[in-house]
Amino acid sequence: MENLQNANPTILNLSDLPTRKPTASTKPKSALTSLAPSYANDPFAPSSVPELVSDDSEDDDSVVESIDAQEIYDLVSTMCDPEHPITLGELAVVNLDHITVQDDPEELTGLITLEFTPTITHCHLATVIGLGLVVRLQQALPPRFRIDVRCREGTHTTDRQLNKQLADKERVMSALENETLMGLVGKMIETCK
Amino acid sequence: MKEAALYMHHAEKDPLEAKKIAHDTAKRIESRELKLLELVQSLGEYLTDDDTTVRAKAIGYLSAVLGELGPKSLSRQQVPVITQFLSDRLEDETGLKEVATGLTSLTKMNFFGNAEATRIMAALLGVDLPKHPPTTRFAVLTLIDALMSGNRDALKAMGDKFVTGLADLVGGEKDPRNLMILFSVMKVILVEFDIVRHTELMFDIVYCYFPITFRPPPDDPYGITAQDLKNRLRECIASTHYFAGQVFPSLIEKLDSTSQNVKMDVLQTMAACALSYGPTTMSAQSSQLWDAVKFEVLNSAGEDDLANEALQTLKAIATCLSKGLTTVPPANTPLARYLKAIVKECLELLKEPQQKQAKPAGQILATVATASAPACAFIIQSTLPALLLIYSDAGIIAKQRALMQCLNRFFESAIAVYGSWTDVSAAPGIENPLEEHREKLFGIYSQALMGSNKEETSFRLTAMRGLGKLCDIRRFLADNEIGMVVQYLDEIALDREEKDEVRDEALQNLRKISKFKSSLIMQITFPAFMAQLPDSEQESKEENKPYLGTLEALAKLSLERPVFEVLLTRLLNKLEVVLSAGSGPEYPRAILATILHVLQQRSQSTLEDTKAYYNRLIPPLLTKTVVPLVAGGSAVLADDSVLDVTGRLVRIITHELDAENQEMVMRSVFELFVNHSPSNIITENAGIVASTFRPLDKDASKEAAGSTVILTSILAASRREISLPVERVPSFLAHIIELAQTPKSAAHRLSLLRLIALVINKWTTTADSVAVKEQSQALLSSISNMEQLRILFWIATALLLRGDKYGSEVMLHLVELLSHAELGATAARGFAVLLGHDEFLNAENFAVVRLLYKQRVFSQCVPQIIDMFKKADSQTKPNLLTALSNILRSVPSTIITASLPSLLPLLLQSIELHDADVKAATISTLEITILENADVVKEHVAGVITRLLKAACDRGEEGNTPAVRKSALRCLRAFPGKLRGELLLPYKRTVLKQLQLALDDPKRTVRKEAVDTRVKWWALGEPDE
Amino acid sequence: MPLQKLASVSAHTDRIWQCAPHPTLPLLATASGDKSSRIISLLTYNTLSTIDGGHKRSIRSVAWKPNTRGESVLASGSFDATAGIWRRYEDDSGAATGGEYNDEEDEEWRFAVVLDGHESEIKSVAWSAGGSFLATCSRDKSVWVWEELDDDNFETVAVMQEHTQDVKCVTWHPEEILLASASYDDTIRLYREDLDDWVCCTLLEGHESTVWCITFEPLTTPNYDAKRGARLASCSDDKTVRIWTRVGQSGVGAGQGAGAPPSILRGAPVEENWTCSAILPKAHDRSIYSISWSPRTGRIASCGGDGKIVIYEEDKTSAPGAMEVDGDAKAEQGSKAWKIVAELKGAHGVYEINNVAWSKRYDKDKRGEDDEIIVSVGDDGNVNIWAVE
Repeated sequence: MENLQNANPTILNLSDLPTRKPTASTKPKSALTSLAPSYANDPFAPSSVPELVSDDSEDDDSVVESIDAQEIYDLVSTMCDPEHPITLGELAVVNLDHITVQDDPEELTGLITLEFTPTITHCHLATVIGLGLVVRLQQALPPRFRIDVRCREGTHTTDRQLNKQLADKERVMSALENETLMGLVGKMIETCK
Repeated sequence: MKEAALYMHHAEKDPLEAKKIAHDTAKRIESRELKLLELVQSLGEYLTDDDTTVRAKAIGYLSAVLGELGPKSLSRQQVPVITQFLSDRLEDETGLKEVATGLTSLTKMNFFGNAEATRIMAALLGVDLPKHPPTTRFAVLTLIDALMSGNRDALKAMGDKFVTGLADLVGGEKDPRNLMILFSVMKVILVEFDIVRHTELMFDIVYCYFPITFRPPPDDPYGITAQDLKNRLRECIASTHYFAGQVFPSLIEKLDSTSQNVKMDVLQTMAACALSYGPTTMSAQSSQLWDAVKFEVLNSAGEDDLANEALQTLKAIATCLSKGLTTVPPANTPLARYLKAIVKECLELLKEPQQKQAKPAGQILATVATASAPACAFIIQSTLPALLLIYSDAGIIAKQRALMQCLNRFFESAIAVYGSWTDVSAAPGIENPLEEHREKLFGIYSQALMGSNKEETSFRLTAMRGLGKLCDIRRFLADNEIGMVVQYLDEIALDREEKDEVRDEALQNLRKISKFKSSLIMQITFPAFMAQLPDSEQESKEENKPYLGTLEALAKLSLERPVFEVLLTRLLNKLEVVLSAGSGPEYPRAILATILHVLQQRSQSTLEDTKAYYNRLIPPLLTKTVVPLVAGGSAVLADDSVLDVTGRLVRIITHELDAENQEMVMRSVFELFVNHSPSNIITENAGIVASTFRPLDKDASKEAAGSTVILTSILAASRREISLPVERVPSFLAHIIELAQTPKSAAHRLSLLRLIALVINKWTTTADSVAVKEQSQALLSSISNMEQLRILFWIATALLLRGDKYGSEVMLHLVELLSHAELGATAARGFAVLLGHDEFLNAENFAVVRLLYKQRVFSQCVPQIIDMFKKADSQTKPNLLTALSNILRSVPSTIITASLPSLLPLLLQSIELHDADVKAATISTLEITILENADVVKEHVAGVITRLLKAACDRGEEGNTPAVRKSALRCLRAFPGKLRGELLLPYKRTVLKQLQLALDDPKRTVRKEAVDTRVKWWALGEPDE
Repeated sequence: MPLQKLASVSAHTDRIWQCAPHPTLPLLATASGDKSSRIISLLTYNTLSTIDGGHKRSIRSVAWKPNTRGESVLASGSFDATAGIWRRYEDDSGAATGGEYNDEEDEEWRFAVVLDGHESEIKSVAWSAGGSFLATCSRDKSVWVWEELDDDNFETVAVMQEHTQDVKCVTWHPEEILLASASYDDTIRLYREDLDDWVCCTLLEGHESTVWCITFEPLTTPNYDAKRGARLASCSDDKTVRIWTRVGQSGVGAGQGAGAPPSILRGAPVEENWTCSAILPKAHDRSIYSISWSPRTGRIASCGGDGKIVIYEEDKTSAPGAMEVDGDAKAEQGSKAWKIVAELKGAHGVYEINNVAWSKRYDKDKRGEDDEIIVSVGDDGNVNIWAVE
């Protein structure tokens, strides 16, 4: 056992992590309501929908579901901590309240800010975590978003330096060319659901 | 003595021939024609030959002969002589293999005794075995093994000489096959022989092989796996407690290994040793083992295999230390000492139940508690008071919940030790240690579930699960207590304020309880639920009493036979009430659907039950349905939507009847529908019905016609041995086909089409088939509308299913229709019917279904479609592609892939069609192809990727539906890992860049797919891949 | 004053960090994350050739060597901690036609020398005005000066370790042997050769975050004042652009113009005094990555993470003379002189813009000899060409 930075962190219960309220479409259909009359689906009729797409009840593009804080949270909360097989959500490294999304349809670009909280104030992996979050979000979000990942003020002994680095595009990009770092980040992202 | 010469001549070139020669010689010896001694003497010259191979072959001959001899064929005098003779050959080590083989054969002889065994062993000990090749060593080890099983006492008698000698003999063996024998020999020695003075030596011989890192060669002829070796070695190591002193320190050391496999092996070996070494030995080891093994659990997330293995090891120690204990272990016992340390440390960690190590700590306690009743008692007694204290001081709910989860594990341990209600095994002697805390626990959990804020979902869920487990522990909670739990659960399940997950959990727990306390469910839950059911749709609306949820819940709880009985009675009464209140179709349909649902969920009922259900359900129901049609009254049961459910009920119940009863049902239904004579399916007004009910007349009312589904259902459910009670099947069929051309409703149409298919598939004789042919020809020649088209497709399906050649003919006509200006598009969609699954027309419902019928359809249609496509005009092409995708959709991919090269071009085109269904279907065909054999698409990678990217990214007015975009993304995701990196890397940047568009999709679910797909592609050729 | 897009060249599949117009020929060189550099014709705006295989990681910076005869020399700085020198023969006809190469001439770009020494990513490379010195700076906090003794033979003449952090940018004074560097430590430093030793002669403090880019005022700008000497412009993560002016005499040949013999006075003080003489009007709401100072119009262009291109112009009349007032008053007055004359949002769509550069205009629609264009490069991998209407 390599000695861990923080062997015994506090863990949030999965069921307490913020999730999107299930919409009608995601709710499991009740056995009775879903019992459609066998004559209802006529394969000869043009409108018939084959099974393999029928799961998609929200087939209407006019209803736009815009990217919100919860969506950002869902993107990062299942990443796992570089030293524990536990997710950043469970470790409360990422929190829904510390994510903001500015996405004004009038504006060309949007802004996403995410403040993370290391499990301990001297965690030497904070940089890796920050980098991992940046990489994940850059991969998962359309380019019109500017992404500011910061370590929450006062939650790390060196949060100033840390944040200046994370804000430095040039440094982040050159980190992305560093194989060992990317190895770690890859591991963090593997667990994403 | 020419055999010898001959044998030696063939020995290498022609082993079989050689064997035969030996066999013949053996026969001659057995028939006393030849004396064994003569044979031996005859070998004399060779045995002194300078050429070692000659000497070896000569002995080989002797051994071969011995091998062919039956156990009785050597006399009391011969055996020792030959033994002596061969044993002497051992000194001259040429032909050791042959000698050993010969001796092994000797051991099978009836007169082979301990004296010979001792002599051989003594001689063997002189041999320098390690210098010989593996096959020779194998022969020798086999010999030793034989002696060990046949003359163990002789070897024991040899004492130290044997034990130490053997050590030198087999030291340093490496060959896996030989090790398998060696290990089993060693195990016997370790267990039975007096080795106390040689523990060190024995330990060295055995333990030097740990851990096994053997990886079998690809062409291993003996198929020995690393696991086989591990298991045998483990048995050796575990076989004598004398090893304890050396084994455990060394195992603990090896636990630091970085290899998961080694750690696994170590933990399993520890467990094996713990279980066999016995309490006295283990009491000395337990504490250091605890100190070493605990980290494997505490530092893991508690889920992985290693952690589980470690838990099992800790449990094994407790199990061992529990031996002979029948009471709560007194403080001075080894078990108590072992558990005390564990309890102390785990309790400490549980003081902060939310921290990472609390969960593993809880798991340790819970798992070790399952070791034995004493262990369970000790752990629970020494932890529960403290835990309950922590709980009451916890203050914050999250902390309490974390602690409850730990307690819930304890309940599971209690179930493991004391069993659940459904168990029959004897309960342990010690009283369940939870007993003294029963009221407190029951109080806490009830309070947590019913007394806390509804918003505290996870907290209450945990409490509910806990209560569920408490109920499950055998003879723990009293019926009145379980009854209270049932009331809680009822309350929650019926409360529409509660979250769905909470209500579902409540139902699941009620369901569990219904398995061992169904009486409580019937006494408490049913009245409560039934009371929630409105008496009419009107009431349902006005008093806001939605019935679906309640019915749903009832269905979930009624899988047990007695409960279902009650459900049936209550729902049928309710149906009466609802009908008399003058209802629309929805509510009655829902009630019937509930019964149907339970029947579908239930495992096969007995014939007796089924008969009972039939009598209670079908005739009354049909009567209520039909009578109003002729005598007036609410015809709501004759509504298509209700009849649909009634039909399914009829089918599912009739299906479970035996032939004899099915025949009766068949007769009565024909009386009702065809012969118009009083039918015992109708329980009242049978006369009026017989005289006026004409569902199969052209001018029947829509409702009457609609009831045809009943007839269809019964034909579907019946075995085909039961003949149709009609004079001529063809004319009956003709009549139905006639009707089917002017259906009165969608439901009516489907009933008739199915009826046609059922009759053709199950009841037409070869004689009838001519008629069938004529009728179909007539339709084909004059086809002018969709109804006829439908009929033809169903006829074709029925015929194809039973492998009828004519079916293919019809089908090919239908393929040609794809270019038909008006009917083409419909025909294209019709191909979904041809191969799709039908609830009524299938093997399970006694239809004739030839194997490979899908293959046949595929191989007959697809080529024709492909070359029609070559010359097709722009408006036919979509039809062909639609038909194609409808076929591909329901054909096993294994069949498709074969002809994929010729199909791919078409598939790629149909991705660009407008029809969303076709697109989606095609894309999923592609996905399956890529997943199952990607190589087919190799040459088309570029084309496929570009089209998929387009499908994934273009949306909006003319664009693709979210469903299509999603499946396109999923399909793109299938590439990485299925095709070699270098084939894909050229597209990596493009794919990643293109998919940025999909990241901005208006639909969240699409964005999600896009993200996952990009991650896969991004990882292509990454360092960590 | 609108910006009109003349062309958009999608030159790279990955982000373009920087671009450099050739001092005399209608050529543009790019530096990209795809480890390659491309040469683009400013006559036709077509890609002429690709320079790759020289660097193992992103190319961060490129610079044309000035005053070369018959050949072009390009220096490249990469995240792989090395700098490269590339050569290609130019026949003057090629120059006149904008070097429309024929295919096989691609190979004519020769990777002549690798300069290694830096411990980590090189962030910027720059040739001195005369072309005899090459400066490089790196994440390793150091600034190196290389001297080309003869063809392909470079010698390290100085390593300055003055900065406490990552050095982002180096640039040379248009006539003096005066080198400037900007850093992640929020400061700018100036260096001179003092006897045979290079020393830091000024520390410019004022920016509140990383200084991304610095550039000296070209001698040919309308507002150039020989007495005052070339000014220095800088842009920063603090979203400001600052102008710095030398005050008082410098130790070595200040204000004496080109070719002045360096003072031989022993111990003559090399320290110089520069002050912030202006802060340009705030226009960017994210980090400003690059600025460029037009030698023709004296306008300054800036770009940054907000995807904007902004152009500022200095009103000569209201601009302060060399030594009239000084201190904050001067700075304030100086600032007033600068006005925003153009501001373009989304110049590279939704993407960030990493670099802008003024260049002489060569294409067929050019309006006279001193017509000019702005070249911008961004994360979209595109090179956009703009005319100022």
